[in-house]
Amino acid sequence: MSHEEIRNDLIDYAAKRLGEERRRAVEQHLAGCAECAETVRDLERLAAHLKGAGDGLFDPHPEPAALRRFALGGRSASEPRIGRHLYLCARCGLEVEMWRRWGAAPAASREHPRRTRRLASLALASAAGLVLGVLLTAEFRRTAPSPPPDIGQPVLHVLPEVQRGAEPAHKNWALDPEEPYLSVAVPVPIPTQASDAERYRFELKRVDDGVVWSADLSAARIREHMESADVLHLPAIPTRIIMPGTYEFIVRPAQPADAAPLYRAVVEISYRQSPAATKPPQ
Amino acid sequence: MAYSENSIEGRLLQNDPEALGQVLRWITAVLTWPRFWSLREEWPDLVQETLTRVVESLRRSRFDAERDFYFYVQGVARHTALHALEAASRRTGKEGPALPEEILASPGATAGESVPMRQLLRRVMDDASEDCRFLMRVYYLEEKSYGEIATELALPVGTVKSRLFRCLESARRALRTVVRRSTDAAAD
Repeated sequence: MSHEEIRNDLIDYAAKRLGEERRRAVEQHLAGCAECAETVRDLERLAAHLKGAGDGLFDPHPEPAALRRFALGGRSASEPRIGRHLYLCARCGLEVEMWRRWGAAPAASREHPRRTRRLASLALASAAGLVLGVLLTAEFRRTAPSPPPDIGQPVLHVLPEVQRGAEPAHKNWALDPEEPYLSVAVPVPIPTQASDAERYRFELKRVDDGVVWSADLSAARIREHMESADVLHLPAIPTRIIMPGTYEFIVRPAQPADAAPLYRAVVEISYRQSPAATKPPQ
Repeated sequence: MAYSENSIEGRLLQNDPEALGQVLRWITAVLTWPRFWSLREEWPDLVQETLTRVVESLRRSRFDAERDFYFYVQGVARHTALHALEAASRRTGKEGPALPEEILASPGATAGESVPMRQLLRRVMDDASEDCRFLMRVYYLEEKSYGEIATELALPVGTVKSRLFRCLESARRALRTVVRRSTDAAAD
């Protein structure tokens, strides 16, 4: 079969919907055609994500007023649907985040939008005790003539120590809706025989769904943290991607994909209702 | 005031929540384009910056009420995001800022597991045509055959196949702009 004929079959091949004979013909072609092989890899990834996300990918967006009500804590029959929608829709998630921020002040009256983020970065950096914080402060002072608003230090959520194989720890976290990042401290029991280069994956996984955040760190880096503070500090998990619900916090070797966890904690995450957030923007 | 009280411009100046919600939606539609996905960490600040510029422009009556306010707002949002991309590339010496950690971590996650990746796909679907969304939904989720889809749409099977391929190509291109950057950043 020609290259063009094979291309017609790539969608079905990637979706595993091709008959035996044509499948073999495509595989033979893929062995010598880098372009088609790359297309197939992408199509397979697309198919997996499309199937994994399901109808949520095609839901209509909630009305702006419904998102505002949701963000400001209003109860309505559409609330569970909006919650599900936000899980997949970054665009509506951004709208909700903005309404939560504006709960405290009129939207159009904030004249120096960049300052808040810079200060948030500063707070996180200083919490981690980084020298970089000092440099950023100097840079910040140069660029911001008036004193910035005080957003305070981020709350550090500490997970308890859990023996390997023991039942996971349970925690309830009520997050501040205006806190842009979740800051977590976790004791990580890296095996003594693990080499410094070995990588470990940290995952925040929504129960009955999927991983909402993950990061890999080398054993050397983790040991560095553990030796200096007995915990590993993960300062920047964006709260935008965390909807209220039950989550598992898991630490496991990055490879193989099904490696048993070294650490597991179950966390019930909710958002505190700030008094300001109950008022609409003036 | 240069804008009527009932116009969206006038209501925005009075901080009317409904007008604010509409303008916010126009802004988020631009900032969350795959092209600006690497600015994810900055999105809230960019929304605020765009809104501040738009409101300031209305206060000074710089916006001509005869023009389409929707295109004006989206133009300001695009300009703000492009400016942020340029600033990031000056800082990093690359095309944009490094991607957020949850995206960087995605390539290692098993397929279907990564929520940030699904969020990106959801955004790509928003920009796809109604026809494309329909084709992808019935082919992948309802697992209909080309024959069934062709009958439903009263189209030849070949047309259904080629349309679906074009739709997937377009989604693939949008996703690759982001994934390629994440791969480059991970390699650094």
